[in-house]
Amino acid sequence: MGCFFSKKSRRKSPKNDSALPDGDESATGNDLPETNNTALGSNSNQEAPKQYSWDKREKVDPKDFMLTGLKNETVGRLPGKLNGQQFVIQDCENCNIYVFDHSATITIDDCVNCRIMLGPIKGSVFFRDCKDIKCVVACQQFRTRDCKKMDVFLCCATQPIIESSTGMKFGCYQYYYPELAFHFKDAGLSIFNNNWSNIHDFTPVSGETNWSLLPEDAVVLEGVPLPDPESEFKSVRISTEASRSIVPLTKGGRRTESEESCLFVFFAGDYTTANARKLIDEATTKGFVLIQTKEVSMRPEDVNRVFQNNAENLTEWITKGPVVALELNGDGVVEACRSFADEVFNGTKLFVSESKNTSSRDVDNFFNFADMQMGL
Amino acid sequence: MLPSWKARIFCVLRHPLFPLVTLTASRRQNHKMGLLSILRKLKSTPDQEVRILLLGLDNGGKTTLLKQLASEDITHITPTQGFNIKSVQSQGFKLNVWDIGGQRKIRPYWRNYFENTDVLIYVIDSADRKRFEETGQELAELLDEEKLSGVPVLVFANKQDLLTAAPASEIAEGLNLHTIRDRVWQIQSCSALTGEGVQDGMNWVCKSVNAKRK
Repeated sequence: MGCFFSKKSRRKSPKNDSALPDGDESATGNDLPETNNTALGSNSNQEAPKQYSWDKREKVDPKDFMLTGLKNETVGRLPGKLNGQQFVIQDCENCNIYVFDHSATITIDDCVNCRIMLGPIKGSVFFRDCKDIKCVVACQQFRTRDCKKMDVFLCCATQPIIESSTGMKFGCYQYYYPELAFHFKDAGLSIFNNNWSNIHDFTPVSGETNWSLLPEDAVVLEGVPLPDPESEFKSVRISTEASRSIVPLTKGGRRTESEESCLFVFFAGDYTTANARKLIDEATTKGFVLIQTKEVSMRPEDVNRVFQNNAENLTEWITKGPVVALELNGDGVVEACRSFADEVFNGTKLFVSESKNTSSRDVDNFFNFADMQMGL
Repeated sequence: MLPSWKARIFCVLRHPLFPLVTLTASRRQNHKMGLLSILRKLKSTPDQEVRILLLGLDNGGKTTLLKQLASEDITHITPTQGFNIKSVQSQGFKLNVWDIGGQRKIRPYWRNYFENTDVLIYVIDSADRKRFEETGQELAELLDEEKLSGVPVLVFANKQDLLTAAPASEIAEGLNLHTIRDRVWQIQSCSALTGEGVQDGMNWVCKSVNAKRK
């Protein structure tokens, strides 16, 4: 009924007509139409009265957390100087940039011909409009847009993504300095969760690939050199030796020479990380190859699915904390791992594949589970 | 020829002033409610379900917000390649939240999700000043969309936990939010990571749904 609806609209507050008047520039909202309750009140008018933690904290100068417009310089932050804050790098050219501390998130914009070392990042690292960059990065998320020619030695907890970028090359993170292990912890990153070799490209081009893997023998120092010995960074005792890398070197998506893999799982305990590293050392010394690692929490219902026949004790062990799993590869690796388990790790709570007939199924079951768990 | 009593009723019912004469204000309300409940039955979703569209540039914190709303672990979130959807109970509503990937390349797909949106939540990285212009542009285009016309919009000025984050008032000014006249809107500062400010924003969302449905 025509009269009906026009009466209804006449009853509405004038502010809800399609021609709402302009609000105050400092408004945080406009009024909702009348409801049966009182009008929305102070929340939608003018300044929000509520104080949040960011309203109360000390104001800082954003410039203290930025590197802007530098050229031909060696710059960055020493351990303890950033302490988990955000960092911004922009418009730099021909610089060596070292951030030897953990951070919340880092954006790098419009940089050209730079060599960049970024300490562990709790959130995302985002490169935009950059060219000719060589970097060493550890992060939760790795993102690029409109970048060209980058060599990235990467430790990334989730699948790295690139967009409108070309000439992107990736290798496994390989770095050490004394505080680095702590920085990983502070950033909430596990050295065992590294998806460095499987990149998602939002803008693939048919017939070309925008990204590839660095040669296996790529040398980090040829990409990101040690800081100038005269610089403020001379005190940082860096090593880029493979055996010293805080993040274990993994083969990732590279092709393997052997068909035989073995699943080795350490259950949570006091020495889980040390044990895992020890296994990696023993195995690689004997010529076996580390394919991938994962640190992930398991629930009792996951145990049966993943470990199948061997699940009895394990249901209890997974309650103590996340497990560390490793896939090792090479002819005879299963037998070797079973010997390691007996000789080196006697008494430690662990799982090793039973035989080379069942081991590739073990590997698939576990890492498929881990991928599911760690996706959304 | 109708019997006289039927003829008299017929005349009253046919009289053009019938509704004004016979319906008081409260009966008008009831009549309106009756019509609305019929309309609701014609809709596919029951009236307590709310469709929320979560948009914004890539790296803004949409998925973190989604997980926070669902009280799930937010320490291991991967860049969204397609979309995520979760249902969350809040203040008597069932919120169906659609979190759509925000990379430039896939923004053209946003329009596939516009239809039947009850509330638009737009997430901004308050600490990424380099992209304020871009995010303002995308928001302006959304507010111009036919299929989103009149839809209430909540702008989350996210990442307030970061030291260089611009305050909500500065963002509102930069985006010219005060010039929005065709719908209700609200800007809310928050940290999806810590959760602070999120519930305040969602309270506004629920109120805006209530207001629209009366």
